[in-house]
Amino acid sequence: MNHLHKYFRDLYLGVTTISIGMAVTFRHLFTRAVTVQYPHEKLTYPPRARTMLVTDIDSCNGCLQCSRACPVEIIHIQTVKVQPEDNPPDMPDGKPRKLHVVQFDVEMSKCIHCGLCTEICSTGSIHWENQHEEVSYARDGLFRDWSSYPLDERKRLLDRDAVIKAEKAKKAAEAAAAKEAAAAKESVEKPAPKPVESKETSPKAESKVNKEGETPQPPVTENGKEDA
Amino acid sequence: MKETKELNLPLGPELNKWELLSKGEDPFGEQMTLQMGPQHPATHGVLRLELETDGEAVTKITPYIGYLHRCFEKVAESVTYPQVVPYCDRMDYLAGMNMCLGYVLAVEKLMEIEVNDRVQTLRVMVNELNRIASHCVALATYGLDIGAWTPLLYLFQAREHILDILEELSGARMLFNYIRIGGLAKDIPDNGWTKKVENFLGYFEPKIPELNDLLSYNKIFIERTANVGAMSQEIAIAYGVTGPNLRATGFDYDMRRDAPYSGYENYEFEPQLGSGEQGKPGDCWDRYIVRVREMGESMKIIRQALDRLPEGDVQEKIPKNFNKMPVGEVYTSTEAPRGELGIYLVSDGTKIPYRVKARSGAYCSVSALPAFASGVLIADLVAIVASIDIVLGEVDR
Repeated sequence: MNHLHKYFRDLYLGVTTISIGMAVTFRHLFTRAVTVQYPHEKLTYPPRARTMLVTDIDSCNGCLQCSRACPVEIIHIQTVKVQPEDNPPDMPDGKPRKLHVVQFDVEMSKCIHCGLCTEICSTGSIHWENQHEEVSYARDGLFRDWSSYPLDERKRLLDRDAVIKAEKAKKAAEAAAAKEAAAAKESVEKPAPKPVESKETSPKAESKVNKEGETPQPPVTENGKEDA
Repeated sequence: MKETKELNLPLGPELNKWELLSKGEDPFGEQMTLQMGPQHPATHGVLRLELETDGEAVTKITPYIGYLHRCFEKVAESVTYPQVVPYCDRMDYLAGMNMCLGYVLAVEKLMEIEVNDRVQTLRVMVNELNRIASHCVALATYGLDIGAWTPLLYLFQAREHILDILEELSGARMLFNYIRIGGLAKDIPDNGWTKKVENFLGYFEPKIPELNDLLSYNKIFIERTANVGAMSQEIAIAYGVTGPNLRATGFDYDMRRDAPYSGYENYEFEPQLGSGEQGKPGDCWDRYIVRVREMGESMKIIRQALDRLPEGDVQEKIPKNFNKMPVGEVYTSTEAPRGELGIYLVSDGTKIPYRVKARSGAYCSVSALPAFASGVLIADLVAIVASIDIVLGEVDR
């Protein structure tokens, strides 16, 4: 009797609970569709959507902050110091340009869309733009070269920069050597401690020069304030 | 009758086989090794289970993991503290907010940063929203594995609302990178974001009874899940199982209540426990229903957070570059949707973490699988693996 009772009870429950579920499904028949037919209809993206990185190279001051913030190291930037004879166009905010951005490459296919670069950019140069439909068969297809300089001009500027840097380094080394010599002359009368070779100082001088070439511009923060 | 006669013939090797069988060995090759995964649709990703089967019964389970290993811990040793945050999202990609919060709380504990009330409230809010979204996927795919297709459609529809809300807030749908060291990436948008959250809560409130009608109390579903794969409290505790899987065994433990972080002590909610309503405590149905009820609790928390959302700045003052980090080690544990997320962080004073160890709930759930699921049928194993709700991204990290 007990088994018979269980049998019919299971039957009853099976039928009723399934019909309850069917009723839910049936009710949903009369609701509006939530999906869209993609290529014909497109959804709008919110303003904060992180889709594709775009660089407005005119407003880039070459501070390298985005390149340093990137966790996957896909932003490659090279800058050259502006010389008096160059006469480049001013920054959009009217300040004189201090660095030529001769290389601004973004490997979009490696991007993890974290947004750290766009947040740190003080001029709003690198930003997201709603271009989510860009696809490519090869990795090169998503390579972005934003620098506005033609290739031969880039080479010329870089070569010139190398020459200037080498000259500076040479001068610094010479100055250091002269200093050393003077110090050595003075210490001839006294028992010399140990002659310091000029080689040791020259790399220091060089590195200082390199740093000078890369230092972020001082008006960075001012720009940010003005934008805000 | 004919068969027995043949087998009873005193033929040398055949007779030996029967003797071997009586000793518990497998002379007829009935036992079989079955590879379940790594591309099995019911293993939720790339989990491989090596099963020893005796006919339809599974005698031994050996999980093999590592197919989704992304070296989170090693990568964290080569990037700076703020740069680790986007990688945290990728651990448990269904609950990125919860993963980020665990890491960020560890760094804040190390640097002794106190965030203000608004940041804490917003963090709690996005965490609970993400928990609902994560549970939606868990329940939807559970139904799908058992053979119920319809709940998937409705639950993903609800999840889509949450993703829209979070996308508007953070800019991404899954890999948010929203919770940052010392605060949040951005304040909430001006165009009535809180109103949208309220609308969602109004929309989702009737969805839970609807899910109960559709799946939870369905007789077929109960037959498939009740009394199947019951995890005892002893096994759960021995293997370090946490989160909904532990609560389903009836053990009352919730990090949000027992070791509150990010201001969870200010919210009223009830950890949901399994009680063996339809079968044994800790069976698949209990694990399922605990998640359903937890979504309701999360909604309660979001309501309270919306009510008390104070004004304030969303980013505390933190050092611009992390050159002078305090030397030391910290451990924080948070309640992620799949159990306790522990982050152990060692700092040697440089701007790069010396060591980041992540302890995930899903990993422990997988490791407990051989202990409580051996001896079931293959079809039931599908139900069990789905019910412990693992995300292989979090298992392998």
